[in-house]
Amino acid sequence: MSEINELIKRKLQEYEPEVAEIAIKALELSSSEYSSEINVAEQLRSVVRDIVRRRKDRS
Amino acid sequence: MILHKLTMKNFRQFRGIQSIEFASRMGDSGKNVTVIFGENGRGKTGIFRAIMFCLYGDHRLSQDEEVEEKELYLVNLAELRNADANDRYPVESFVELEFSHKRERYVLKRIIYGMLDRDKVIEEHGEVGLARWKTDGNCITYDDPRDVESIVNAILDRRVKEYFLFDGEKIERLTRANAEQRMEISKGIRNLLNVDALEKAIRATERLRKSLDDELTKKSTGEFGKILNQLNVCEENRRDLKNRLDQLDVELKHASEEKRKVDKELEKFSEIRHLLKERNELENALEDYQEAAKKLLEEMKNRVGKAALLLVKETIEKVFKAIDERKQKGEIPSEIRKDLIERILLEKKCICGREVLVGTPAFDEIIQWKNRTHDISLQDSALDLWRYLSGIRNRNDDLAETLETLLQRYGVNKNKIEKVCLRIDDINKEIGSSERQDAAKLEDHRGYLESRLRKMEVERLSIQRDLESVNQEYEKLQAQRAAKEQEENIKNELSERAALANKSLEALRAVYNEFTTEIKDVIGKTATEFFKKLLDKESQETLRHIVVDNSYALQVLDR
Repeated sequence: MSEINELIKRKLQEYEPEVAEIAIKALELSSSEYSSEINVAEQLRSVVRDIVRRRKDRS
Repeated sequence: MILHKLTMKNFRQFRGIQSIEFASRMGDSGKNVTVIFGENGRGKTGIFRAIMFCLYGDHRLSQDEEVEEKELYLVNLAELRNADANDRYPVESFVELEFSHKRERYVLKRIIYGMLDRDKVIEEHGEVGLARWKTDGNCITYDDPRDVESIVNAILDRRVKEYFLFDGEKIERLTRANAEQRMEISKGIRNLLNVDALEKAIRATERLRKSLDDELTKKSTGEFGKILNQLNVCEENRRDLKNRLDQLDVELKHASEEKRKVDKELEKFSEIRHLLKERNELENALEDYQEAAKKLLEEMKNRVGKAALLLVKETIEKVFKAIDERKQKGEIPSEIRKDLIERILLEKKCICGREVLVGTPAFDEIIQWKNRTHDISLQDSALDLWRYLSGIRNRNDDLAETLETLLQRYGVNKNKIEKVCLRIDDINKEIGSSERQDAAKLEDHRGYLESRLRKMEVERLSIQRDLESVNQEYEKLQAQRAAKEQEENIKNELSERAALANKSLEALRAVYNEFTTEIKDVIGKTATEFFKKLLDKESQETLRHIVVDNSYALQVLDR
C-alpha cells in the first residue's frame, strides 16, 4: 500500500512544488478512514492559505 | 508472509495450550501447504479467528455480521465456567503466531482476558508483543500496540487483509461468478490501489476550489466578476456532463455484458436450434389438438344428454318387434272389426246372407276371430306406440352413429396428443432442463439490447462533443480570467488561493488518469499470467487476456 502511495506521490512531485505540496497533502489526508471529505477540504484550505502567505513573505 | 506456527491458550474451543505447526518451505518436510479439514463446529474458523485476532486484534470476522456481540467471545467458555466455580479470575487467553516475511522472522503474541458475569462473558484486551529477528540475526522487540500495528500493516495492510487471509466461506463467495463476486474483487483492487483515497482527495480539492471560487466571485465586480460567474456555470456544466458520461459508461457496460451473456446463451441454442424449431411446431400442434379434443368432448356431452333412450334400446326394440310382428300378421289393425263379428254371432248370419249355425266349423272359426281381435282403442294405442317407437329407433340409430363417429375422432385426436407429448418430452430431455428458455425470446431481448446500446453510443458521442466544447470554453474563460487578472492587476490573496487550488485539482486529476490507466494495465497483465498458469492447455488457448474495467472488476476476454 505504501508503495502505491509513493508511486502516486512521485507522479505528483513532477508538478510545480506548491501544487505538488497541496495535492500530496490532499492524498495523505484522504488516506485516513476517519477524515471526511469536508474535513479534508477544510484542512487543505489552511494548507493553501499558508502556501500563499509563505509566497508573499518570500517576495 | 509465511505462517509457521500458531499457539493458542484457552482461545475459543481450544482449551489449555494447543499449537499447530504449518508446513512451510522453511520446515523440514519441504512441503508448503497445510490443509485444515474437519466437520462443522470443529474449530476451523476458530483457527482462522485466532490468526486474525493475533495479527490485527480483530474480535469480529467479516462473516460475523449477523452474529450478536454477546455471542462473540474469544476466551474458552469451559475455562471461564471452571474459573467461575473456583473463583479464579480473570482467565488468560492468548494467541501466538510465528511467521516470516522477506526473510525476517516474527513472533507475535496477543493476550485477552475474560470473566463471567452471571452468564455474560466480559472480555478485555491485554498486552501485545512482537519480536522481530532481522536478517543479520538481531532481535528487536515491540510492546507498544501502535508499533505492532504499524509493522503488521506494513507487511499486510488491514484494509486488504480480507483478500489474503480468508476461510473456505470466502473462497466460496469469490468463486461465484456473479455481481457479488465482481464487487468483492473490485473492492479489493480499489483498496489495493488506494483509489478511494485518490478519489476522495480529488473530491475534497474540488470542494475547496469551488468554495474559493464562490468567495472570489462574491467579492469581484465588473468584467472580472462576470468571467468568474461564467467559469462557475461552465464548471457546473462540465461536472453534469461528466456525471452523465460516467453514468452512461456504467449503463453501456451493463448492457454490453448482458448482450454478451445473451450471445453465449444463443450459441448454445445454435446447436439445438432444429430441436427448438421442432418443439415449437409440436407445441403449436399440441395446442390445436387439445382445442379440438375440447370441442369433441363438448359435442359428445351435448349429444349424450339426449341419448338416455339408448340405454333402453333393447327394451324399445323388443316392444317394437312384438307390435310389428302382430302388425305383419295383420292382427293390428285386425281385418275384421270386433263389433261386426259380434253382430254375425248374434244374428247367426254372415254378411253374405249365409247362415252360421252354432257348432258348425264356420261358427268356430268366427269365435276364434273374435278371440283374436282387440278393442279398437287398444289397437289405435298399439299403432301409435309402434309409430312412436319406430321414430325413436331411427333417432337412436342416428345418435349412436354420430356418437361413434365422435368417439372415433376423439380417439384419433387423443393418440395424436399422446404422440406429440412423447416427442416433446424426448426433445426436452435432449435439450436439457437448464436450457428451456426460448431462443426467440433471447433473440428479441438481444435486439432490444442492441438498439439500446446504439442509442447510448449516440448519446455518449453527443455528450463527448458537448464536453469538448465546454472544455474549450472553460479554457478560454480561464485564459480570459488570467488576462484580466494581469490587466487589472488583480493579484489578491484570495485569487491566488483559488488559482493554486485549481492547479492542484488539475494535477490530481491528471495523475489519477495516468495512474489508473497504467495500474489497470499492470494488473490485467499480471492477472492474465496468473490465470494462464492456473489453467490447462486448452483453456490457456481460449483465454486472450484479463482486463480491469472502469469499475475495477476483472473481465476475462476469451477467443
